[in-house]
Amino acid sequence: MAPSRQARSTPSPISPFTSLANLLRRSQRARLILLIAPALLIIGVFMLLPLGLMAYVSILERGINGGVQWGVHTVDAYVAFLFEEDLLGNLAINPDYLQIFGRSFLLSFVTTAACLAIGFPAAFYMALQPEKYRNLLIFLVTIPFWTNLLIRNYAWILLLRSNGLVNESLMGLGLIDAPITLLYTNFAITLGLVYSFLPFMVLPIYASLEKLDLRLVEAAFDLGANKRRAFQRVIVPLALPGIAAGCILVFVPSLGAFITPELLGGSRSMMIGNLIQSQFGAARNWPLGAALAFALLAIVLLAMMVYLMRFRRPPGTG
Amino acid sequence: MRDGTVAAIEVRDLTKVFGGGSQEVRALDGVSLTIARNEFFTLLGPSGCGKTTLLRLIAGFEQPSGGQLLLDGEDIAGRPPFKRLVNTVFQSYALFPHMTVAQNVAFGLEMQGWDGARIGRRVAEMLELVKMESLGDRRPGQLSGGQQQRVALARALANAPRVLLLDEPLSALDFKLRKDMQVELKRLQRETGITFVFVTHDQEEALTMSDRVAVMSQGAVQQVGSPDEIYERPVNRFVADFIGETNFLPAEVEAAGTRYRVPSGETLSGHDPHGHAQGAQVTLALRPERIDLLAQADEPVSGDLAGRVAQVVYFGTDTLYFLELDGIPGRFQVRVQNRNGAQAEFAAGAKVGVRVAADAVQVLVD
Amino acid sequence: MERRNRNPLWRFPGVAPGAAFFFAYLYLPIFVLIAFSFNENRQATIWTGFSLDWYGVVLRNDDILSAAGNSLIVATTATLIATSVALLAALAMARRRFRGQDGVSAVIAFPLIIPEIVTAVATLLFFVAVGIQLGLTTVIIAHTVFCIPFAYLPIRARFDGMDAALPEAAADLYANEVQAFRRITLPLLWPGILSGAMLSFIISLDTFTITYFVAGPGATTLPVYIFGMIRIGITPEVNAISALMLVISIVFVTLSYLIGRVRR
Repeated sequence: MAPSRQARSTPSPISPFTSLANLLRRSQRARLILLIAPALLIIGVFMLLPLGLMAYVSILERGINGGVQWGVHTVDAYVAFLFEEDLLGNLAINPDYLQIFGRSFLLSFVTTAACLAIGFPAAFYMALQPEKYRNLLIFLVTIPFWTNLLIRNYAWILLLRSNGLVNESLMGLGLIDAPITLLYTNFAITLGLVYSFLPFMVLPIYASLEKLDLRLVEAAFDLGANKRRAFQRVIVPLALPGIAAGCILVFVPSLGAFITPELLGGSRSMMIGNLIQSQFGAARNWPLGAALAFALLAIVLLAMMVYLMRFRRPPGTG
Repeated sequence: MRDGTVAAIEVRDLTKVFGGGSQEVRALDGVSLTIARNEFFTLLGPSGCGKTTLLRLIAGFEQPSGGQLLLDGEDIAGRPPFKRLVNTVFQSYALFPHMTVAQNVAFGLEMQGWDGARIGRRVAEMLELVKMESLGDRRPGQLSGGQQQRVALARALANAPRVLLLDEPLSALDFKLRKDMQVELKRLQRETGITFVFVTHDQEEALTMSDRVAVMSQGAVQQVGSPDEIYERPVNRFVADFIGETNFLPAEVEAAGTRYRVPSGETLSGHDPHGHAQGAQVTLALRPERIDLLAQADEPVSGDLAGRVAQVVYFGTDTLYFLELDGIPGRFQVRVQNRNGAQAEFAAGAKVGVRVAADAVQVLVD
Repeated sequence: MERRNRNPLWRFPGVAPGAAFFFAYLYLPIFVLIAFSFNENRQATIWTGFSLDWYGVVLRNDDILSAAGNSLIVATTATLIATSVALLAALAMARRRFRGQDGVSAVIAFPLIIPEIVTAVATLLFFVAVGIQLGLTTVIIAHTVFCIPFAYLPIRARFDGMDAALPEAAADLYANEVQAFRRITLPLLWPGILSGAMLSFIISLDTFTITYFVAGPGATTLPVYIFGMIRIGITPEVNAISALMLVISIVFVTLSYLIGRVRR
């Protein structure tokens, strides 16, 4: 085919536009590239490139009045994460940042576990409903996701304040005499995180339960399993991919949460997100902020990779 | 062509390869075929045999890797589907869900630039042809499977294509409707005089509807012929096995072209299109309904085989006996019509004689 | 799973109460917020009577209106760009398999998996490094990036739900590629496109963290403004504007849901 095509091409001058049009008509490949290019370019230039830049900034010297000194390389940011310089210039281990990382992990774990405990029964319930109700229920689960995270967290302030709805109700019931401190605690953060990311747990679990063939459960009953055993030995194992996906989808954004601890947490319950933000605000230490963000990104990507390797079949086997 | 006219479709050494490297799949491997005008031609084979690929090459959805494809004597390889005067009835019907029945039927005519009034007349004519006059304003989603099938036919036939391609169009219909549509398709083909190329994996469909059948397997055509040729004179074991039930007997050629000795020592007369020489080892094919069962008391003649009934299966119109023949390995099937009602003539365990009808034995190449 | 909810065999203890708790947890704060937005009392948490006054106050506040204007400009522009780009990508991705397809999918989905705070930091550093003045433009660019996957997924889902033989049938019936696209593919994709555009729009309207980082002075969007208000104190105005935003989002997502169901 190729020689005949060459023979047909005319030596007369053709405009670039016509030749491009001809190329597109002839070449599937050129068309494919042209269609995909805009999306890839936008994400590449304004997302992937900035992430690379962020990694680079993390090894730059901080500027005197904020910002960075371009071209001056140092690992200060990573050192500062673990150590602090005392007045004599000696490095001593500084537990502050580690503590914040530790707290972020702990709160994210608790959040994930709570989401699983609340989300699984809900997903299971939904999967057992007739189809027309199921769609409505999924829709109800997704609505909060599409509403403003900031506002949804703000709503919890109304509930948790010392004169908020929760305290008023508890006092009204006579369970407590004076308002208890709920807001600006780790408890409030966990409550807010669970609230923020609960739909991410329910939807994937629902998706795997919805595909589950109920005859398998009937077979378990038929073979002498009671409900508990059928649940443990058949339903949960078959829902495992959904559970894993849900846990990842809750854990990852919890770890990087910013709004929830900002609104519901106190000064002593900072999470990674707030620490990063403070480096770009009051602390004016961009390299440290970039390094912290980079560490967070690395943890997230690692979690994703572990998940994909464990729960997704490699392409071509399924 | 013998009568000097040009074939509707001529396929010469057509090859289609999908993928590359280690994942290369030869969907078609040097297929040659000639389909005459006004013919109801069927491509028959199991899934993955290449029949649908051949159809998609004719339609223009895929480009051949090699070989020639002629429509009315004109090479159409490389032409896009919208520049080929062939139309397709899709397995899924592929009716446009956002258009009415009438708009669906009008679509091809519109694309060819017909004026509105002419389109309207043609659409009405087509809907009448498939007996859907009253449903022109419906959406495809509001139709039953059988009705959708008719619309798909009307939409394709409206363009008066040189060739109509049908890709397993009846596979989604239930049994009764399928029977009706078989008759209907035959009628449409007669009335319109259009060449039909019909793809199916259902041998009964192929036998009842077609003028000629091409049996395909593994990307190659195994045999082309009229339905009775395909059934009565299969050329190889694949064709004999794929179409209907068949008994296979190993044999040795005793006299080339006439007599074949089976392991038990008897000789059968057979039909050999391949001209095996004396002494060659061959396989004989016998259809179960071309065999008579004899009671022990009946007088045996030369060529009769002997055995005993292993299992009896009642089918309503007939009874199938599984036999074990003396000196011959494997099971042997005989189908006997129940002319005298349900009572089986022989019970399991009975000793019987087996008489093969003259001309019933076909010699195969393996 | 099929319908077996009426069969006692399928009643697992704790499942129905668990689900009830879940939905209560999900919706109680939203209802409480909306209820308090109608509270007449200036002390935002003590109920004294029904009033629409605070909505009036909010709608007369010039700062809020200009922030809302900024939000609309950003959301509209980002949605238009993201949806167009996502449609083109979906066309290429759905048509045929090609080498590197999984990689392209991963890149398009990438903005979804990166924590917002990381994206915010990286984007801010990028704009500063390249020397682009922070303002509405930078907000629009940042929003466009993470709107692309939200616009892409519904379009792609629509494509996947479409019989691949339909464009072939159009070609078979003498439609050239442009005609086949205009008459068949586009009308069938339309609900997916609309749905994707609406989702992009509300995601852009709602996004706070990234906006907070890359919005310069004068480019304050509604969520950033509300954040500032919450920082100062809990007021009935915050309740009213928050309730308003919630309702707008819910209306939009409901519309998008209904459109997505059309002609399935």
